[in-house]
Amino acid sequence: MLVIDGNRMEYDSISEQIPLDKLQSKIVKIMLSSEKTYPYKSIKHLAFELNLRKSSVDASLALYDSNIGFEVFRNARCNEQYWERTNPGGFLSKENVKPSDAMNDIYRNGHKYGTECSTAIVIIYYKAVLDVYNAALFDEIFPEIYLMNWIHIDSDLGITFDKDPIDDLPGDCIYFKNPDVDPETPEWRGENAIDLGNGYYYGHGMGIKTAEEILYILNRFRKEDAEQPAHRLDGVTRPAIQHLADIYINILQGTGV
Amino acid sequence: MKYINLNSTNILDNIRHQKGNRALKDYVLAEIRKDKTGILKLLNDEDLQFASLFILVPEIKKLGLADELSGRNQNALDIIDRIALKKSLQTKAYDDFLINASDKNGPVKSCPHRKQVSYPALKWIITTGFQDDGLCDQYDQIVDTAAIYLVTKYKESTILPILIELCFKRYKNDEYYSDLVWAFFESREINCLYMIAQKFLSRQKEDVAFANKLLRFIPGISQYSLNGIRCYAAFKKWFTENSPFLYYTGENFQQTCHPAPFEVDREAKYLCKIVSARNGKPLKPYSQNELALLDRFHQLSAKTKKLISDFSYIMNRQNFYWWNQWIQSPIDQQIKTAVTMSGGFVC
Repeated sequence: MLVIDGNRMEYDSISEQIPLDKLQSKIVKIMLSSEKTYPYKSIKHLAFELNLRKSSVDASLALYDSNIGFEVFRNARCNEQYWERTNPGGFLSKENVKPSDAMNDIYRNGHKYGTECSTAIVIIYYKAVLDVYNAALFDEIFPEIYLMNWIHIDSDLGITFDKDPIDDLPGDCIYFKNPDVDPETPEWRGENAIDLGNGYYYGHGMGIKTAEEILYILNRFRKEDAEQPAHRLDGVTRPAIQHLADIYINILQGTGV
Repeated sequence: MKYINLNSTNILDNIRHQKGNRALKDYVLAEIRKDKTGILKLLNDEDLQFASLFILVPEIKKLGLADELSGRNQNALDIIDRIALKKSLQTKAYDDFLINASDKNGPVKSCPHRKQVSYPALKWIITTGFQDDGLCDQYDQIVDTAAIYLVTKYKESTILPILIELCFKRYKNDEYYSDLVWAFFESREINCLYMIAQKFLSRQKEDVAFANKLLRFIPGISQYSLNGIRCYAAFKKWFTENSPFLYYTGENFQQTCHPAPFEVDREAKYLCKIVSARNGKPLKPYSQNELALLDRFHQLSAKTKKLISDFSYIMNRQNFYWWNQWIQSPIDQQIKTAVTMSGGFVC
């Protein structure tokens, strides 16, 4: 069920107010038919979520096309014109560059970068927000960006882990867990992957794969006496979408929230 | 030349400690011409520290000494070579490796056949090598790999105090710690939590901050931030009440920003039955009566499950006879009683 300002919504009333592409239409239909209630303060908040989810999928496909490398943190690399490569293997945006330029450089010069799957997801979410916001707002909200798995997330990006999401929504990050991973390849103890909404997922280091293919690859990185196969977890990770929407609507559109 | 013994009885370690890595290499290169047997004896000495062997790897290979090393040393060399190979795979041909891994017609095993890693060599790497952690990335990666093997394959828990010290040291030095923290929790021992909580009592702010980061899934910890004493008190209260019902979840920093490596099994707490922290299974199978109680429990919301499981545990400890009557009453009645009495008992 989808509720805006206390009113239960139908598909037609939404599509009359928000131009929906194929992916966004699918997201709306999932929400409408769900046993879970998706509450929004306004139609603008729903529109923002649909745009951010679409942007997350687009940012995933673009990152795949960017030729960014897969590296464990100890071998992580970045374009030092925009980023400082920190000792543990993260990327910290430099003071003399705009964070928006630094983010865009990853997509423009992907071959200069290499990192693990979780950092790639964080890159995708920052890029998705950048593409929905504009560069000026993005730079104001995120004056410094530190990319390194989930450890140094900006509170306004507000990554949260929903343990019981009920629905599969495009743009969410799924975790495929490999409990019996080979001790010599701990980086494959799991794979973070963005749900692309068409039965495929983007997982950095693996590419665009079905869930079955991701599990197959993870199973290849198990220890010799493995007992448990890799499996998909129920929980999903996503940014604080409605918080980001509040900022967007408040500042850019001046409607007051 | 005589060297004073610091932490080792081995002269190679003493040279390294006092004169540095270059001096160690020079000593071996000079002495090998005069007394090869003596150098081999020093290398194969059981008191040698892993870092000395690691530093001498290029010289050992150049001088063709590898075949004359002890089994322990050969095993350690094998691990060193494998980590180096992995690095070259990742930088040169990792994409090809993944394509092969995706090929369903390919061989089932991801890695080529490799020698079994021996327990004594792994234990030696950790127990003598931990003090030189930070030597270089490759060295630290070998320490991580040895730790993961020991914890996951050999279920070795005696190294956990070393591992937790290493994790905190790396945090303070801004070094990579995620794999080591993951290895530490993979022991699946709830005592891990207690070892971390001890750091709340440290005078160093970094210790308290990192303990807070690792244990912030425990109620009350995040709100106290850098107040170590209050964090410790919150931990003690939670741990005392929940330790019999904790099980390992496997959550880690690769998966989420605030991992909860252990969770309270609400069913077990409701029935007041101890579970295995390793797999979450009850130590004793549930009776038919208990299974029937759980049928009703399963239908409750997460919030209500928490309410009556916390209440159940407290009442079980305070008045077992009363508790036994309460838990056999209809579930609605149980909830009602728990809500009514929770003002005084349930947090």
